[in-house]
Amino acid sequence: MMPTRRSLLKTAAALPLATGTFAAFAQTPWVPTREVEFVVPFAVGGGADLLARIVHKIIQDEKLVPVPIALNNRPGGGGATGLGYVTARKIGDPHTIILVNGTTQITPILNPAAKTLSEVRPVMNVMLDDFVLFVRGDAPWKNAAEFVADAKTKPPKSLAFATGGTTDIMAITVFAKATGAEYNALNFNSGGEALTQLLGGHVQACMGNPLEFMGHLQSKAVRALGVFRDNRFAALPDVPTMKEQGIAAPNFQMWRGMAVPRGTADAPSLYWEGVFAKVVATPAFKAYIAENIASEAPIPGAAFERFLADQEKLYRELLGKPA
Amino acid sequence: MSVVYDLAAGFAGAMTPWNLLMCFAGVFAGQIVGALPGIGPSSAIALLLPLTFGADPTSAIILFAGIYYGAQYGGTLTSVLISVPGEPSSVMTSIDGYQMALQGRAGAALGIAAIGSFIAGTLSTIGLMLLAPPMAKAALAFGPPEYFALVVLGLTALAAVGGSVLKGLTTGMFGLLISTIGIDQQTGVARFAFDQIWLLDGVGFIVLSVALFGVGEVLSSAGMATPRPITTVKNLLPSRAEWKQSRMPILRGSVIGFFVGVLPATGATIASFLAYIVEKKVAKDPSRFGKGAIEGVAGPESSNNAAAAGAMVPMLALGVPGSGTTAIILGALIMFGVRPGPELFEKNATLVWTVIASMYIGNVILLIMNLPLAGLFAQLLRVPYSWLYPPILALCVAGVYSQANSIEDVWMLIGFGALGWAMMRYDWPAAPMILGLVLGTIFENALRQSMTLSHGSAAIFFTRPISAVLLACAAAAVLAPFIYKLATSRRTA
Repeated sequence: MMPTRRSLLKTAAALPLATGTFAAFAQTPWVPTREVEFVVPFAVGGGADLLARIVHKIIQDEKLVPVPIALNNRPGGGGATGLGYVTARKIGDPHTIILVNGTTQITPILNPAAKTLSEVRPVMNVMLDDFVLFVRGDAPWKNAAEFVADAKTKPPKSLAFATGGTTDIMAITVFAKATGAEYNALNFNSGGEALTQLLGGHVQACMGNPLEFMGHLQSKAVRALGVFRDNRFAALPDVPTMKEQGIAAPNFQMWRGMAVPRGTADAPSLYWEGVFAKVVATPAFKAYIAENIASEAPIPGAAFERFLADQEKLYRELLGKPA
Repeated sequence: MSVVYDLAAGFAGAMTPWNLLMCFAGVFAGQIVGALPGIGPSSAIALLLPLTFGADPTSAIILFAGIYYGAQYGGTLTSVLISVPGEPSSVMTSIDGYQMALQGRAGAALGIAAIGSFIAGTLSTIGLMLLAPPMAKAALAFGPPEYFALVVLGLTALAAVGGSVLKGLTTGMFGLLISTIGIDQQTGVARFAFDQIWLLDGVGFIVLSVALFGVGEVLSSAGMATPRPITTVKNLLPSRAEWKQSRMPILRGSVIGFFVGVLPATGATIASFLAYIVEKKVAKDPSRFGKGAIEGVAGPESSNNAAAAGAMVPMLALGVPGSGTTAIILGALIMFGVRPGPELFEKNATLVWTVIASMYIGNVILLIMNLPLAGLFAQLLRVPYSWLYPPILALCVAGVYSQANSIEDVWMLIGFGALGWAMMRYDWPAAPMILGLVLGTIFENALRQSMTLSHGSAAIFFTRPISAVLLACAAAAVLAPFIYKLATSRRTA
């Protein structure tokens, strides 16, 4: 019998859950019985916090969890303060979920005293943030290949980038390594400040999140030269990938995901994996990703841990801090 | 004239009952979070954000803008009455405002702050309306060397804040040293953190200002042999003479605040410091400052309100936030599907003009709300101080704890509070230390960014015109007293 379209869709929807659910059959499924604490190791109002609030709202609106969930912001130290709190009070507690991201992975690489990802059990990646190379609208370069060719004819570090944080600098390192040219990087507090520096002509280029300059792109105040992905963005169909332009830069994106405390048993981990799989499939979450010009990227359980191990290697290499 | 037409349409939009209610709710909530240390307008807006999903974006932005400038009014209250600055931008107000309260002039201080804020808020909204696009372009001329020069000018003027230049410079340098604690913004590596996780973010601005002003004041009052006399509240509103003294400071504060607010990366806090320094410099008798000079309240209070409107300029005209709070409002706009950027004024004209019109209305509401409240709150000082200081200390601790839920911040509050007591006891000024902490990060970042840009040559500070002029002003500020002394001594010789 030919499988119907509907049954195929069902199988496809079950697939991400099927990987790793083997252990679940042996145990009775776990469900939370008291209030759950959702620890956000970043300040109210930032990008990480907004994602946590969206996920929180979707879980409550769709009634995905039978108990209330309370958000708890524990900002500080690039995620180390919040995860320190989890270690001190919540080891093995299945009624705690935690937001983790690329920053929490970078913090202990730069400051070995800070413990972050080692304190949690990663459950699911939910999205990836992208990086785009962009210049002023009146700049002479029409694409990344021209930009690189020009940089190579000038003395090293003649072209300066403004960035809004460590992750942007890492994207520049990726770009510089792939192209064999050296660039000057100036770090600012936020992508917005970096953008002002570009618009004011104090630097020649920016590396940053597409969300931060979409308005300027539409008004042609800035021009995007390339993205670090396999295929072009639906929202930016005119912007070529680095690979299309013959620049062999590896894909570079920042991940954001969910975790439970270190020592949490398999059954609750799988329960939360199932909840987050439902969250990322909702139209509300897909709309959030589209508004933020980011990529959908649900990576569950064991695959997430492998993904994180690869990222760790890449970050250490980019930051010049081998393990 | 199209501005008149646009504004009229804006008022029509802002005067709908729902938008009026949002405007009132915003300024009211802003007033409250402004008075509480620890909770600032940015966290208040972030907490309200999920509630406004699906609402009309214009009403939501009216609400958020109301919280933002309403908070500048609220911060004054605790600064004047109990010497606990509710917001970083009201630190300078607590110097002369609290002295006025001790003299029974709390009503006058709060009244002039409300009137000054109203005038500054209205003037800078006019500035926002007429000048937004050209001003935003002018702010782009500020690169790292220009920010560096601006901070150098602020730091050299810092000596003017305290009574003794040497003591002022010493505490200012101490503030700069404190600002280097924590994760280095350029490379992400921790400095002076001694492997303590809670030191990675450095010493919080709110911790230091609440400790030095709030806790220090309580300890030194409690430590006095004779109890502080119960203040008799004289006038509930500023007198005609006080109003005359305050007119020019309000105007100067409005102008300074608006221009500083427009620059990205600076905001209401730096604007209020600069306004205080300017008032002290132009005053006929600078020795009155720190002892209850009404200009020391009128200037900074007008300035921080004008800066709030000024910070909306780069946000609306360039799509670039000028402060932490406007960054969140910007995020809210994006969430509502409104793309901030150069085309906002054309594509979303109704939203922009309705919000601008609501800012005029909001400032009127705040004035009406604050003038009677000034008298009412001033009555609080009739309560004996021994009854007041436990709740004041509780407010300090709760405020500092609530901003990051960190008990270590509370220990730091106690430590710096003891330092604040000692500084008050031996007459060392606290304001330069706080200014050092605020400006330290920008100072260091701008210096390192400039040197990276120039591949290590310091010439970059002198070859760029804006930075060269600002540095020349700083040199003049330092050298002028010496030259003056030299000239007068030669004449007498």
